[in-house]
Amino acid sequence: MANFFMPRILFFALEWSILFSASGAWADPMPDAAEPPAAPVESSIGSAPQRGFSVGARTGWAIPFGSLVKGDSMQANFDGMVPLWFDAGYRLSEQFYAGGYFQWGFALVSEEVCPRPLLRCKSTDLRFGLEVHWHFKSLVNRGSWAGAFDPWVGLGAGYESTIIQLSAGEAKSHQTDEGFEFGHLQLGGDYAGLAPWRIGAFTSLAIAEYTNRTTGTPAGSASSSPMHPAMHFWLTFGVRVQYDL
Amino acid sequence: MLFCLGAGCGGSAGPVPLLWLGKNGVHLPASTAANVFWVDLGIDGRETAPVVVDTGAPIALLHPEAFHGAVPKGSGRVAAMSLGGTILWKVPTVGITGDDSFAPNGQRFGGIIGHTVFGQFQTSFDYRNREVIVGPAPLSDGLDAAISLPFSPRGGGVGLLPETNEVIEFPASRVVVGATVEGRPLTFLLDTGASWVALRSSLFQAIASDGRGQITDEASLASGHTTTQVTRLRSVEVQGLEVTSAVAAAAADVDDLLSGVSSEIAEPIDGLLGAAFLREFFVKVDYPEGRLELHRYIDESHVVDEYRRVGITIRGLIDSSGITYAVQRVFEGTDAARQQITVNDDLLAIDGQTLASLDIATVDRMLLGAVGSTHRLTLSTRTIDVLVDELLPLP
Repeated sequence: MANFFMPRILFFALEWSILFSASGAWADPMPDAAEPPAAPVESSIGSAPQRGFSVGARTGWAIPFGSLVKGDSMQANFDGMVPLWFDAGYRLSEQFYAGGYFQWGFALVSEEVCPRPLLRCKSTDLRFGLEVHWHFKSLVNRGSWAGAFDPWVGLGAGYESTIIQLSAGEAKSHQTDEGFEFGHLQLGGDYAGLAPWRIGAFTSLAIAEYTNRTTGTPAGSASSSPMHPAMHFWLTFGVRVQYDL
Repeated sequence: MLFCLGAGCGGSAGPVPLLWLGKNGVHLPASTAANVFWVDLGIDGRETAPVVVDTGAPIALLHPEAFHGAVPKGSGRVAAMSLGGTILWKVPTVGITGDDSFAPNGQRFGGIIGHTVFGQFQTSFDYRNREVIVGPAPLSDGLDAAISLPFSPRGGGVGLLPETNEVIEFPASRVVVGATVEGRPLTFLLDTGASWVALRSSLFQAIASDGRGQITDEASLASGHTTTQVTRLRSVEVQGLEVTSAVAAAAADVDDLLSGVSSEIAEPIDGLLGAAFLREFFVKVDYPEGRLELHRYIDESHVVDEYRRVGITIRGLIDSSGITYAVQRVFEGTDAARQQITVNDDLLAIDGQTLASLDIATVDRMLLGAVGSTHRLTLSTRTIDVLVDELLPLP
């Protein structure tokens, strides 16, 4: 699968370059009068209807930026994360999709905060919320330029909860940081020629802030709000598959 | 559900407690040399050094060289701090260059740990059994009924680190206690890091103006070494609990320290309530509940008077062959001075026990005793019986 998709990603980048360098391409969506009109492109190139439910799954690699709280950088805590991201939603039209997302991520705890062999640490990151995707290729030449390639951008917002579990011998404790994900921006490109399947690649930048911390220790559970919360970011690169019902 | 999580669901704002794991109520064996609690502190499971557990310190002030660099210089943190079987995670630290001093066990002195380390726990100081207990623990046997004083940690704010010019935040940590000293109502800072009761110089001079015995003695502060005036107080009383003959000290540097704390808490502080008072009690500082408990020991045989002693102090010399001891100071007017013991005399044995395998705190204790009793000192040149003197007589 990776061998198949990598050329598509490169092509996708090239197309972006053409779109932005071709003057008038956005300003004049009508086809050139000297050229024959572009043949209408079947929506989604396959048999999936324009409207309907979709489910999808993604994975990849997420890079942390920003701070857990002020003075405690994300990169000091995490080397990165492997997300398992699930989407479910409805295709409102050829261009718009709205739905929800749920991500479970396996985060790698940095040795900077997890000195081994004294401590063993593992971390998971949960994100969930709502998102919309805009598939915009039909804006230019009714989409004929892209063929089976379907670029899209997405926006979303939700909630995030990150759990770090520590253990040393039989002793265990955990810490949960949680807060609103103010938003995330996605950019993706699908190959839609295998309808009802879509396969593609995406990148996502999520912006969030942990505003509540719960610690579970041998003394019990306690919740508190950081005095100095700070913004953090997850920049994710990955691949995805979607099934259009 | 979403709103509840975001709003904290009743969680408290303020310093977020450290995550920790291990036994809740760990007993840390301690040395009580100089009447303060020295415990072994581990960093990241790699380096260990003895540190003082100090209720008078808001932060962990550590000497990086004692931990072979495992503690960062300046404001920073360590990933894991081990106290006995308890591991604290992501502990803020301040690393400052030490003065190459040694702990009583001969290891490099690691510094002091304060409120940022243990301020989220009920923390108890057992002078008799030489333990610090982090977390809840049953009381020792042999204690009288306690007094319980409510407190709310005071002070906190920002400060400037002298070595790095970094501005650091430190938490409200000061436990302020009212006490009466020879009839004077005074305000003290609870300070397990203080060997004696410390007083402002003006107050010290007013109390000592009756001609009671005074000597000078060297003292270590967090900011370095200083020379203090030392005397004995007839009485120190907290909520009806009285301690007699407590040793008190004063110095210009101590005045500066007290002025700094007074500014921090916006209230004049007259002194530090240290071990000269506290060691007669099992001291429980319940930070989560804001309660200080003092349980008097029924048997106070662990309390010894360091100024009723053979009139010398000693220093240890560490080399590849081990520790040797020599006379550091001879107090004037004592039997030791009359018998012409001099500075740098090698001290080999006390009461027949050779000293080479003993730590300096143990050797120092061997010089104490009832006034008028004797100890047999084996010097490199002779063996003599020397009287125990009262160095701080009250009129």
